[in-house]
Order: sequence, then C-alpha cells, then structure tokens
Amino acid sequence: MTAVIERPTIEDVVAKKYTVADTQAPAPVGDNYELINGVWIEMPGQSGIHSRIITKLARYIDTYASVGKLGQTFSQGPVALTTNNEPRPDVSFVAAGKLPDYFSGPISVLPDLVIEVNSPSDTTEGIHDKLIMYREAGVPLIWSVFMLDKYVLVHRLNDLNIQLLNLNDELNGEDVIPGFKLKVSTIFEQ
Amino acid sequence: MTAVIERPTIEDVAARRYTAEDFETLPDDGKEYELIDGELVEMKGASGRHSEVISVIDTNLRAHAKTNKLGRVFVNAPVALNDRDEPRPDVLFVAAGKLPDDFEGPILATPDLVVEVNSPSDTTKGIYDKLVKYRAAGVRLIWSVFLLERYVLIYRLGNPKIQLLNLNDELEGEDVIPGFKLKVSTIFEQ
Repeated sequence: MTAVIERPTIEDVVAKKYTVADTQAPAPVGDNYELINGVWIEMPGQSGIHSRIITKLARYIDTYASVGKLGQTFSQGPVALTTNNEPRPDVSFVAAGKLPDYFSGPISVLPDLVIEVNSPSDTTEGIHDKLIMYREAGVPLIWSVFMLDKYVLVHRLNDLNIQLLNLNDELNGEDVIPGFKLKVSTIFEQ
Repeated sequence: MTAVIERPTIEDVAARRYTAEDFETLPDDGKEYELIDGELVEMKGASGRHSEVISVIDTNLRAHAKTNKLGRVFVNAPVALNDRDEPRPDVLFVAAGKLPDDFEGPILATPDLVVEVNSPSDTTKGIYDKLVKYRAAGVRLIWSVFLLERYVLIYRLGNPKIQLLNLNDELEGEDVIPGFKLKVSTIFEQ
C-alpha cells in the first residue's frame, strides 16, 4: 500500500503548521522533532541523567512486560496521536495485540501508558500542554517524572485527582501493566 | 551609622554577581528584580490570573493572621535569605514578634510560610532552585501552587516527603499558622 502524503502548503510552511501526514516529508523533519499542535518542535538536547532515567524505566517495564507478553515498550518512539500531534514520549507502552510485529513509520495506536521525564528547562506550560494532549487522546495512565525533587505525578484518565509518589512509594502498573511495581527511588538511583 | 559597603570583586562583576548589600544600593531602573545566587533576575509581569490567585491566598491568610494576632502577611516583598539570595515570594507569612513594627529595606527575618504561585513560563529548575533556598534558609512551610493543573505541593521543613493537594483537599496552616484552613478549589475560583 502506498500512502498518499499530503505536502504542506506554502501557507502551512510559512505558519509552520503541519499535520502528521507530513511526517514523511523530508523537510523540516529530522529524527528529533515532535509535532505539537501542528508545529514541529526540535526536542531539547538530553542530559545524561534524563537519558539514564528513561533507560531504567523502559528496561524495567520491558523486562516485566516481555515475560508476561503484555505489550511493547518504546523509548522516545514517535506516536501519531492526532492529525496535529506526533509527540515522542520518553517512554510509551502499548498493550499486546494492538500493534503488528513489524510496522513502518510512527506508532499509530494509542499508548496505554506514557511517561514523560521532565527536564530542568521544561516550563510548567510545556509540561501541561503535553499532559492535556495525552489526556485528550485518551491515554489511560500517565507518569510525569520530576527529576530535581524526585517525585512522580500519576495522572489517570477520567480522574481529576493527581497522585504524587515520593521516593519510598511504588509505581504501579494498575490495570495497564497488571502486577508491575517499581519503587520510585529505583529510577533515580545510579 | 555608616555602613561599610563591600565592593564586588572583579570576578563578581565579570559574572554579574552581587551581594544582598550591593543589591540594595543598585540604581533604580524602574524594573523589579530578585537576587538569586547573586544574579539579578527580572520579575516577569504577572498575568491577571496569577495575581488573582495570589490575592485570594493573601486575603484569606491576612484575615486569619490578623484576627488571631499570629503574624504578618506580605505580597511580593523582598526577603534577604542570605548574602546572595533576595527573592520576592508571591506571598509570605512571618510569625508575630519576629519583625519590628516599622522597618526599611527587605524582610530580614526568615518567613515561616512561603507561597509561590508558579507561572506558565516558570521552568522546573527555576521552581526547584527557589524551593531549595527557602528550605536551606529554614522556611517551615512552603506551598507551591500550580495554576494550570490546579494542585498545590506542600513542603515541610525536615520532611523529605512532598504532599500534593487536589481541588477538594484543604490547605492547612499546621503549627505555622494554627487554625488556618482553606479549600484548594477556593484559590482557583474566579
């Protein structure tokens, strides 16, 4: 099957508005761009700690999920959420059976868990905008990791209450990754 | 009394670092600054919503503190935390008896409560750095208010655990402002 790629119009280019379909377009897209509200944004350079935390989370989740064949785990994989949004969540998890073994292009189904490890330079507005984007798309479980004061905020779909997990608390896969538990302090350890 | 003013060193000038004393003697350029790590940080124009939330917290705290003669409440006042830090917390409370009735310059006593209402443009590092300074200075209770997601983080001196309050929870003065209670949703009401 050949996908028809809609090229951005001159007006789109001038206004820097693109859609997910433009992802395949050669310019201005590189490997480290996210499409947020129709605007391609270059992802900020990652710090070592940021990358270490992502690696740990992805490894623990993937190891657990692989054993039980529960689903697939991605590190900064592009997710085609809506026409105007193709973020690269730091970690995303898609339950088994929703994706084929092999596929090209971005992840085209809704992740069941999204983790964002917030960088020191992230603004409260930037963090909020992404959360809203994931919630509106219907992501059931979101973990928002704050590396400086070492806590995690848990956002659940259809629950307005946010939960804060301190170092001694446990991340819980709930009904998304049943049985998965990880002490918060683990993800900040060396 | 003639104060001996310590001149900044060449290194200080090169790095544009000032002491709290320099800070007081800098010429007025019509802008408001905080001194953070010896650097001048210009106060951003607060948004209407930001100042509305501050006003609600201030009004409620002030009424309770006055009625019960517990102490004084300040909005946006400079606090000389140490030689290199003179932030202007959005709201602060100083227990009775710690400040002279009348005084010039910044607040020299350690506030007992500091409230920061985080702006959309604030970075996680900017928010964290101030928290660390307040805690190091001995501020007993800190309320960090997140406007967009509408929750409050509570930091208590000597307690590494952070507590999150959702809309239906209640802010409490604890042993800092005994008897003070305010539903979180109240501070976000229009």
